[in-house]
Amino acid sequence: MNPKNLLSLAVLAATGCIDRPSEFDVVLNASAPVVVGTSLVYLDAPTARARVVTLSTPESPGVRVLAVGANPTLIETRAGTPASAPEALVLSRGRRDEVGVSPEPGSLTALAVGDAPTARRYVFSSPYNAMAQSPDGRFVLAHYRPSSSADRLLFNPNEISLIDLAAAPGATNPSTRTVRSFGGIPNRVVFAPTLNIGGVAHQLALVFSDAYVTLIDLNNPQRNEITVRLTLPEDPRAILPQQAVFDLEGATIYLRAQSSNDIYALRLEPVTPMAASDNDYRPSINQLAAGQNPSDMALIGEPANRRLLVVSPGSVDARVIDARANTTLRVPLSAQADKILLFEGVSPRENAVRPRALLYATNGVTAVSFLELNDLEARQSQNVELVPLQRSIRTALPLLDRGVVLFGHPTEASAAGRGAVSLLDLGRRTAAPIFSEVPLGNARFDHDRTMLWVAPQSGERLGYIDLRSFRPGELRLDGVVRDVIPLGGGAGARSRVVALHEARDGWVTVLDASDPQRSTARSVRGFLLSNLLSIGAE
Amino acid sequence: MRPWLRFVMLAALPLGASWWVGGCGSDSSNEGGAGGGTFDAGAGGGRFDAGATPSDTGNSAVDAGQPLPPEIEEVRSFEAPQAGVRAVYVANPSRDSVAVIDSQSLTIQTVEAGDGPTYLATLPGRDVALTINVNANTMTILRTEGGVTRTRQLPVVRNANAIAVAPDGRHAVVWLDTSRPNRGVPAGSFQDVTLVTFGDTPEADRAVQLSVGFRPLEVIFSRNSAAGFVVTEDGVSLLRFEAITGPTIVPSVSLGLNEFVPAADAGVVDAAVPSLERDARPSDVSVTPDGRYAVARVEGSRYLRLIDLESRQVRILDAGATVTDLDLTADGRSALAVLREQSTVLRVAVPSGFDTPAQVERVALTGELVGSVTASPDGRLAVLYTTAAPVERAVLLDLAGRSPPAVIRLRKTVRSVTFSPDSRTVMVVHNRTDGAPGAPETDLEAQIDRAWGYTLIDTATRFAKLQLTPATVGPFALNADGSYAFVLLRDDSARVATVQRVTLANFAVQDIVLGSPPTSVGTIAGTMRAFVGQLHPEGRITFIDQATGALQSVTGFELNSRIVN
Repeated sequence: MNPKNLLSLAVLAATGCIDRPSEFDVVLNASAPVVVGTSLVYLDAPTARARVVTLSTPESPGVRVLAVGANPTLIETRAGTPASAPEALVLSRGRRDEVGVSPEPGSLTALAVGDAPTARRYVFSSPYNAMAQSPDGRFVLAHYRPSSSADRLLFNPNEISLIDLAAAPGATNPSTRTVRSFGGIPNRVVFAPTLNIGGVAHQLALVFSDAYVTLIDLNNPQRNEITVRLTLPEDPRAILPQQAVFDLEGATIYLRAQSSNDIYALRLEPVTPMAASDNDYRPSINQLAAGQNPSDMALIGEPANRRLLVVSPGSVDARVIDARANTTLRVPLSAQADKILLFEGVSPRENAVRPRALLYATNGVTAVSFLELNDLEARQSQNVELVPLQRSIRTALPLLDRGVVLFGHPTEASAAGRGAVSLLDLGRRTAAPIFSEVPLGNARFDHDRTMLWVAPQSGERLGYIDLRSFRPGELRLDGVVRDVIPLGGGAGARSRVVALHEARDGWVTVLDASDPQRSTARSVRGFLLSNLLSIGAE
Repeated sequence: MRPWLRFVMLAALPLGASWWVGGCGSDSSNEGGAGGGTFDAGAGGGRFDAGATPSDTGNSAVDAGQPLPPEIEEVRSFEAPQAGVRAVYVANPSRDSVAVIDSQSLTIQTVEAGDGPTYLATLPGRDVALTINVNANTMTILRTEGGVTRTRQLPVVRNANAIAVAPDGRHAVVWLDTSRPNRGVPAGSFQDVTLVTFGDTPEADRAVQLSVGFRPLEVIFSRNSAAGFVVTEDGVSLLRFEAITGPTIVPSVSLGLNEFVPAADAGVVDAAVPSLERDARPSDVSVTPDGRYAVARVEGSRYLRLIDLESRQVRILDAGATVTDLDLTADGRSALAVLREQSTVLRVAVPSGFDTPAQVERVALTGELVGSVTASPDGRLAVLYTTAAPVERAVLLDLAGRSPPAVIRLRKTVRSVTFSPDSRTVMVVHNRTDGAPGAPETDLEAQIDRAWGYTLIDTATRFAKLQLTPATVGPFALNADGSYAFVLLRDDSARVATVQRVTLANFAVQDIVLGSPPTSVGTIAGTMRAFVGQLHPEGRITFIDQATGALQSVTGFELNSRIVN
């Protein structure tokens, strides 16, 4: 039976009942799935359930249903978890009470997607709608997205909750606080890698707000947060923090902000806390002039000679800033650049593998610049080489272990016969066009980055480029391909990719990523209807 | 009590010895040698005007027909940041705050001071600073300990702009120095000073207002810090700290000769002592380390004064010619008086030389034009030179008399002379003549004359190294042991913003380019660093490791102060 018909039957059967529980009055509307290990996890918001579709053996997919908090709004793969114990994280906003409906607080549900899926729930009182994970997946910081409604009579947009996923839910986990505000609300949360401050490892979260940054010690949530203003009160500029770069050895955080020509260096120094709520470190701020409209930055050099490379399209230059000395080396560029890609490799004139930088722009510029980082202070603009591309760059997919960068160009380029994609060889500094009929926006590398997969979103063909040979290929599937997702694999497992098709009942095609063939592809369909009529989740 | 005066005439003393005849033995004492110094060789302080020197007008020779201007000495600026043992203090008058910067960790606290904190000083050997709040006639004392700064506010005299701190840091004198930039005195007195006594705790700090002589010019302390001496136009007011328990009048010991003025002259003409300007301001007043005697000269006068600060007696010595400069040796046993018109320097034993002409030694430096003297901290050497004429030489004088005076050829005229604290090096800052230094049509000599620069002299070997600079030599600092100097070079139009780190053992010069124009420099004993304050809207200071030259900078004092923990 066609799954669509099955769904209609189910819905008809449900609506035919009188005095049925309200749970049966929902419409099946699963979110786009996330990959967790070898499983796809769909979030069914109306029923507050997660459906875990295990595709390790596509011929016999397993489907399990797990309950999550009411009104789930976000689902993400938990970072840093091993392939043997993957997890998904579901942020739920909770539910207001209605007649016959009990209220439910907001929560974060961690779904362990193993052989026997389980869920553990961390409850907080606030209906957050955004979350950020630390790189190791241990911490989650739940907060409010700016300019959003909480669906409550009153809510505090500066309230956040910190969840330690390594600990069981409890009275102090999550820990909830209201971050200090100077009129703004959190825009974004960035987790710093572990910083060594005075011999003590610190895990910090940075909360970006309008014109200030809040530092939260993840290991000591009982301590005060530290708020660093980026402007003085009389300064009318809307300085919006946008990027953070971390110097681990120097315990320094570099912040780039919109509407500021300065980079802000926060140097973290150990101090002796006077009270339990005091921090054992303190930042000092240093403003570094970085040209006009700095748009990207990266750290270069050895720890003892660490410098910051900044590109500023407004002043058409790159700047090398010694933050300690507050000195700046300006390197004029012939082509504007707004992005930095650091890589190690050879150059056409030198076989030695050295750190180098590719500077490119995504704003219509048709050339890129290579910057030799060696001896830059002495050679300055002699270290810049311009490579014309003949077309502007829209996206860049670096494949540094293969020494190439895949540039996506505007579709007009393809129409003009110049190719919508080009491969830039970082060593030879040559750019080879590849014609593509689809934008690269949905392109994804597979698990071991040997293939690049492109979903056209409007056709039945799935495109790919074998990155070992740069040979392109395509595969016709049974339905329109909306997206393509590489599956995680355990050690020794075959690498697979999943093509997602448009179908409310769930429809995917599983392919062997290293040898994609129609004959070995397996289509799985209707799995979202599994256990649909059961009231309780497993 | 009236001063007791006595004249000694030196006119009959023989000339002709080409270097010291006789001698008083070598001095090994070292006054003030423990601390690094900061000097403003530029326009700071208001007394020094580089544009007024003859060499700046393009003259290349002394005009014998024109009287030479007075010799010039340079002064310290209180507006600049000041260093304690580890902390550096930067006043921010517009925000009523002082930034306290830890020179090691670079953490910054901004501490609220009074209304308009402007002038700063630190206490030796401690992280304690005091700042004068010019809008409130108060001072704020800042004590930094364990990263925390506590403050205490005390009243001070109106319009105060100068601070002098005793060597032991237990007392300070705050006053209005009218020779420095000031806010004017529409009403009030020129004769008030505030004596500040620092207790062990902020609560124990005390401020006492004292009335002293007219227009305080300088405050000097005895080596044991038991007394301070306020040099005024009227004389010297003695502050015996133990004896001062509350506001009081502190009468001056006069440097003048009032009792020699016949009543008939109505106080206008000093008839009894021809050419002695009774109302002239004393200059070059020095006090012996034990606080017993002060020696002084008056600009344009041939008479030296010795004031017994205990008996209040004044003795006069006729040097035989106008004394253009006067300095005390470090041990206070000798006064060095320069007679420019005779190319002679006198070494006057203190106090005996003012009574016994035989105790006055003189050396004629025939053919040399010298009007200024700078004695070394260890008391063994003195440099004689002139800032009043385009003379490109200086004379190194061995005060022990073991070697004859040595003429050092400098290649450029002299703006200032400074000894390193260990007395091993002399730093001579030069004037320049008009014109572009690098103009191709000029010969090398003219290019050198047009350039800015300084000369380093090794006092042991008398080796001199000329260092030309791309901008005027600004403030410079020497560290406490005399191993490094830090020289600021700034020319905004030429985009020169540099500090030169000079290794005084070998005269190697390292150019350190800064991100913004440097304005002040100092050394920090506790962390072996130098600091360079810079012109930046948010405030910027760069710290330099003295030994390695490694840099660290902080910018945005105010933003740092607004970090909320």
